[in-house]
Amino acid sequence: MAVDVGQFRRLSQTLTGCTPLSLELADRYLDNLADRPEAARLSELGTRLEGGEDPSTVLADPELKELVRLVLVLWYFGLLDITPAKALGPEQYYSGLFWSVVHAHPPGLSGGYSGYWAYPPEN
Amino acid sequence: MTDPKADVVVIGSGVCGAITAWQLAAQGKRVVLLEAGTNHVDRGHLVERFAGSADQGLGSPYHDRRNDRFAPASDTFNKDDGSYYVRGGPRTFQSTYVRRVGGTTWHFLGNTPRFVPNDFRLESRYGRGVDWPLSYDDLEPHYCQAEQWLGVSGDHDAWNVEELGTRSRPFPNREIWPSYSDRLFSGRVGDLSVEGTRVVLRTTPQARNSRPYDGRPACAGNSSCVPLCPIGAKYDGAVHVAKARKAGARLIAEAVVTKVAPTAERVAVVYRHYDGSEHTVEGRIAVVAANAIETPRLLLMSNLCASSGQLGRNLMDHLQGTVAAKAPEPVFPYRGPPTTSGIDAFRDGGFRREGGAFRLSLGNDGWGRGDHPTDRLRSLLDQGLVGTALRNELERQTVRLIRFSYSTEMLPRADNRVELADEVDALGLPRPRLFFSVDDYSRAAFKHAQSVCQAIFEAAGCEEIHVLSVGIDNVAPEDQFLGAGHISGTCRMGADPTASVVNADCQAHDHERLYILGSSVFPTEGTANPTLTAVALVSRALGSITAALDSWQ
Repeated sequence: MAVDVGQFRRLSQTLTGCTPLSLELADRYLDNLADRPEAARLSELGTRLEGGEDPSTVLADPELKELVRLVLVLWYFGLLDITPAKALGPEQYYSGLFWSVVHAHPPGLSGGYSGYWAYPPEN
Repeated sequence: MTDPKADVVVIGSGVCGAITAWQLAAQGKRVVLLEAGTNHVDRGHLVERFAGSADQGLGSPYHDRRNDRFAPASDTFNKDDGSYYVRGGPRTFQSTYVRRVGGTTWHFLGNTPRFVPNDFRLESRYGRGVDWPLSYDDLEPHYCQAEQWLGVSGDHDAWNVEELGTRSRPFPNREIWPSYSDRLFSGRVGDLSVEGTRVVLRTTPQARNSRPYDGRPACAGNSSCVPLCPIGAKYDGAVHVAKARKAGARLIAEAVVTKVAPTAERVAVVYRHYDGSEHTVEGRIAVVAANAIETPRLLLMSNLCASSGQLGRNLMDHLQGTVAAKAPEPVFPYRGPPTTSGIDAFRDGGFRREGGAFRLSLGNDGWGRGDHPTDRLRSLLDQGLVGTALRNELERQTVRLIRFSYSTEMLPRADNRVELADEVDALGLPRPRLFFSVDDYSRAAFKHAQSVCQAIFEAAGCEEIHVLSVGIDNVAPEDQFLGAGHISGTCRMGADPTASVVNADCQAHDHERLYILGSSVFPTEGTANPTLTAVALVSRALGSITAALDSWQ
């Protein structure tokens, strides 16, 4: 695997299109990936992206596609996989990027006042 | 072992049982409240389970190893073992419930419209189904009481119209704010008429606080009403279990009732704890309020209420589908309650001679349960999108998602039924076998609802309008349905003891010391979410129960 947390965060930012990502979560997600065989190619993924390769070219590489998918599912939904879905915990669920990207909040955690939904989002 | 005697033994601690126990205990009656499931009502713990689950699904907050084993239900059943229900008919019965203190209102959406007046006279008005032995006017004061108990938020003026049932009292709370999406949509459909019927978007009455009420906070739009309100702004039956206990009712959880045995003087109720020990509690009256599957299951096991041949029959649900679309502008779903407004114009009309009525809910939840955001991510990845392009496209598509959920009326049919299966649960009790089929009346309702939704979405300028496939039963999307959780009909109410199980007071025709509460007593189901009507019937039945107890002193 041989990527450090800083490099993992950078490649995650490139793949998700979201910046800045939490270093603490990056650390945990890197741990979560450790047991997955796809993670053996993390170093190659990081090197190619840092070398300026377009992320869509990397996604098109059948050897890397699954790893890219795993990284995205982790950040967007806090899940280790989709089918079957493997949860990591409440904090990861609440941290899923999907909800803020679509100007919403994870179901169960609005943080809003009563009636906020009558207005367009502020985020 | 025989426990001390009670005035009333209530079986089932869901909304109907809990309110009954509370009201009777408050009158000074000795009440024992039996619940098959566990008494785990620590909301913080449930929230943690929900958020830590893989799918935030219906059963996600409620899994409990012992509860799942000894008081199984389909939401939490060990799936490796197959479904809790044993399937007996051509279609899969989709609706589920939980067995736990507080019952299934823990994961209900909270919509609480009343039945419309013609729902009580379907046969005399349209020649279909049967009439109820009571009218809307008979039940109206009890609807007001039910709205007070549940803390319903609603718009009195919008709902106080003849076709929906006139109202003698305002709602206890003003309406829940309509969503941003509702407001945009209202502007776009304006004065639209479909099939000569004016389409009006109304805020839906909901058992969800629009202001602090009854010691519970106002809704903060957490959007997770199904399966769990994290702050208790939405009503659930645990509210009245707590009030019942405070009033002196004795709650016994993890007590799976196996037999009810009425005599001329008393009713013996036999239950088992999870350790297999058997106990009996005696009351002067027993109230079975275990839901429309567990109630007939228990009465069938007890060989009661058999004379009409209707027990367990006429199983109904509101069969639901989704018409999905993309709005012409961002509507920003996944914010606020999953639905705040609906269309009630097709809940009644001459078309009910040929096909079912339906209620439309405009969703604030994207394309709903049939379309998870992870599916969209995967699809965009398959299209080669990643990085900023992926993020932008995910945003662009998602913020325009909109849907109508249609909930259709089905007719009571004797062959749709709950029976006792040969297969047993962990305590050796027969599991429910459900025979379920769909008739042309329901199919006509699906088709009608789909066509109305299509017309409204077209008028609103939406794109990609389609019936969402839920991948069920290997049939075309147009013929698929999900359950609404609105299980009813299996202990039907009627004036004629040869054709019904209980009378208009919810008292069993065959056993005067036995009452049956809940939506199981509905002779027909209309299109309203059933909880409010079930609670209104509780309010009405309480008069009869109290009078009976007092007369048998």
